[in-house]
Amino acid sequence: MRYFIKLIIIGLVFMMSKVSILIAETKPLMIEITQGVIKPMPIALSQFTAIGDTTPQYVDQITSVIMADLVGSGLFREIPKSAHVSANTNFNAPVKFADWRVINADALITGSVNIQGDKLILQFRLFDVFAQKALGEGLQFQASIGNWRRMAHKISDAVYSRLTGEAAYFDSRVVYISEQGPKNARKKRLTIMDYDGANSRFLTDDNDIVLAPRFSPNNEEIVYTSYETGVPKVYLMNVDTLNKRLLDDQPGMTFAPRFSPDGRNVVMSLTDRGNTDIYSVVLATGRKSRLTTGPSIDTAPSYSPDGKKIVFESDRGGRQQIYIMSSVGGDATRISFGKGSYGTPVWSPRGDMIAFTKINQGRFHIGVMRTDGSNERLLTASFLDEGPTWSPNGRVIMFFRESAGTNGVPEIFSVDVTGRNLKRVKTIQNGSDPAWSGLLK
Amino acid sequence: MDLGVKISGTAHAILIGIAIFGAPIFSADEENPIQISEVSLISLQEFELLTKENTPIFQTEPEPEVQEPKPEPEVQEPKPEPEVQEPEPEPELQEPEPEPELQEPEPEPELQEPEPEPELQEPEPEPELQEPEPEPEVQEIISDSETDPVAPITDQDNLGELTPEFNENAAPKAAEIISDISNEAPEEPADMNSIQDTSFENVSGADEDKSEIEVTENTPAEETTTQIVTEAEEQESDLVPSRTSKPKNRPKNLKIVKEIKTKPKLKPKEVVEAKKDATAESILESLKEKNEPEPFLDLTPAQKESVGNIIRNKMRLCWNPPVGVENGLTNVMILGLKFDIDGKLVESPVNLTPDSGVGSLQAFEAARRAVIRCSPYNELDPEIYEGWKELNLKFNPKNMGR
Repeated sequence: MRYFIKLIIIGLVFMMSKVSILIAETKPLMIEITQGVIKPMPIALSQFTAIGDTTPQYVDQITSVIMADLVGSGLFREIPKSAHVSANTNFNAPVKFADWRVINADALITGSVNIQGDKLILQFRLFDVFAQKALGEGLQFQASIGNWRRMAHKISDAVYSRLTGEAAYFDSRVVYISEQGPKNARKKRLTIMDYDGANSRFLTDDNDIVLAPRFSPNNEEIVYTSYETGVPKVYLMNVDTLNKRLLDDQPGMTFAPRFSPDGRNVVMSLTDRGNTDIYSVVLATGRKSRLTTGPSIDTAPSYSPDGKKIVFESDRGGRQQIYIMSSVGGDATRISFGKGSYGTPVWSPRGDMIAFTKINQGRFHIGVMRTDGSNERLLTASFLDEGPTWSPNGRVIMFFRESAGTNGVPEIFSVDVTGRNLKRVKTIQNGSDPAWSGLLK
Repeated sequence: MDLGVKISGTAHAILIGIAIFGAPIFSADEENPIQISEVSLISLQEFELLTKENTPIFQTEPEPEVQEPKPEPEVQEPKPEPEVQEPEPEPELQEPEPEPELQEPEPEPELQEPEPEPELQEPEPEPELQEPEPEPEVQEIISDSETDPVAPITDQDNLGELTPEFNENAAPKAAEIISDISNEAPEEPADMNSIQDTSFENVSGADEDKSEIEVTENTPAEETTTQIVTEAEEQESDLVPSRTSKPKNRPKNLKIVKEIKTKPKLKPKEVVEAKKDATAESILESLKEKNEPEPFLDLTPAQKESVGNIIRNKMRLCWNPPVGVENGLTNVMILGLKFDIDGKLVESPVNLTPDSGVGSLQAFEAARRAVIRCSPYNELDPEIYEGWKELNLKFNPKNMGR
């Protein structure tokens, strides 16, 4: 009997050990991958199908805008049509993924252009070539033909968002100051254009100096500074009707305006008897509130996206630095501590970073830092870089760069928030003080 | 009747009317000239039907031939099908024919059943399209059970290494800090440059996205070209020994599993009895009957290192983490892979990442692309197949940043 019990125990022990081994081996081997390649995603745009009154020129123009958007972001690389193995001759035809995989396209865009009289219908679909599946539903855009460029931007936005997981920024506008003439007699005009420089339109003549335009949250109005009355004053203008009005007719100079995120208030600097402080103005009533006090120069205010805080520049510490305070005023906290001086802070639409201009050792830089001042990164360096403005998605910064010398001219540039993809933005004249709108509806 | 009551009644009637019929003055359409709606994918069969019936894709289009360059859609359209389906020698994500025994050891036999073929052939002879059902099985294989995973990046340093020659000119200049790269906006055509206001309307429309993702399409098209080679293949030619050098022998370690598989299925009652036998076989059988995962070969540290290096070396060339901003280099993704003994994926990679956040879907898709692009993994030693028949890959881009 004892022998039998021993046998059972030994058997059980054996079984348990076997089972435990099996359990230990039921997990697949885990391999950690920490290295890959970082490069723009290769994408292919199959020639869009032309339908109705559509001519090949329309197709080319529309697709070139789409590709210019995507490739211009620095995040995508176009696989040229000359490398395409096949083309979709029908928008609804199944995609031959093998033909696109063989040319290493990660993503494929197909589409159609259908013009019927004055109406334009754009359709597109996006595919993951290697997974051989559509990425979401396709989209159809329908509008009058005059909106073709915006519709193309919207396709770019949809593709960009799906492939990056981020909000896009292509269907947006920029308002800036067009500049002509020598430095000592420059003619300046408010100008509005698409983010890529197309569709430029002057908003003012060149009789008066204008400065620092800023979009309202609904992109329909701007505030800007004009010397129309001889002294700088902040004006509010509707960009469609061009109707304008003086924001504050009290004595003193007003400048550096910016809308609150809800569009109800404008915050700006007011210089009265030699002292410059920050005020907010309720647009509906004109009621003005003083947010900073003291003898220092406080200016360039910018709201946080939630409207609860304001970042601004001040020389209260003896040198121009960046501070943050509540949007109703009160104590301010300094966040910039690097060498040199800091100015023109702008809060990112994402809320996580602040762009600024830095002057150090005679060089100007555009940089970004976290809202607590940490992780400061300088993105550019030149004789004069100034006036950063964020793209609607907080990924790109536009600013202006002025070249040195008496013949130096200002030009608008954009740079990725990582410091890459620096490029000049095409404008009809030289330009400064750009302000990026939100994404258009 | 009191005047006030009349006024009140009239006002209420108007309000009710607005509530029922809607008020045009509140319509957003007038402000937004651009109307947006979704475009659903159609299946291959539906497409065939459309083309066969010469149905214009857009109602107003008088001549469908404009859309279809081919003069006779009825004759030509059906033909492409067989061409597309036949040429596929070995769809990557599926189990090709080779040796059924070698595939059997996998825990999920359903995925290995290469049934789809008969179904895919059906649509050809029969003009009626309405067999949407047959596809699902094909789709299952290709589709991924995406749970959301992680995100993006932006460095573009090592472009040259993997960029196909024909793309170099088109590649955006990668980001030299502070280099003056002029980038012109696209030309604006003279005849259409007026922009008006916009409007916006969402239109619904839903459909499964990949309806007819042909199994046939799955086949890498290496055979279709002699000049353009994929990145993975380029690297393979340099780094990877040819597949024929591999031992085709079945690994010894598979023996037990194989035997179990070839035995008739045990019924629960028999399983209980089998448990009484203190043998590895019976334990394996009982585990199998309970749908427990099959055991893996316990690899030695050296073998693990070898498998890991093979995978890592391939991923180093194939994995392009998604583009994005701050979260791009922080999302860590875990993908579950299943291989056949030839190193081919037997199903689409599965997302095992427990958490998902912003950009996690794109991170998963990028990792999945890398895994598919690098397939097959025929450098892996078949002798220890039981140790790598399933692998979990953890894609961690945190150290890839600037």
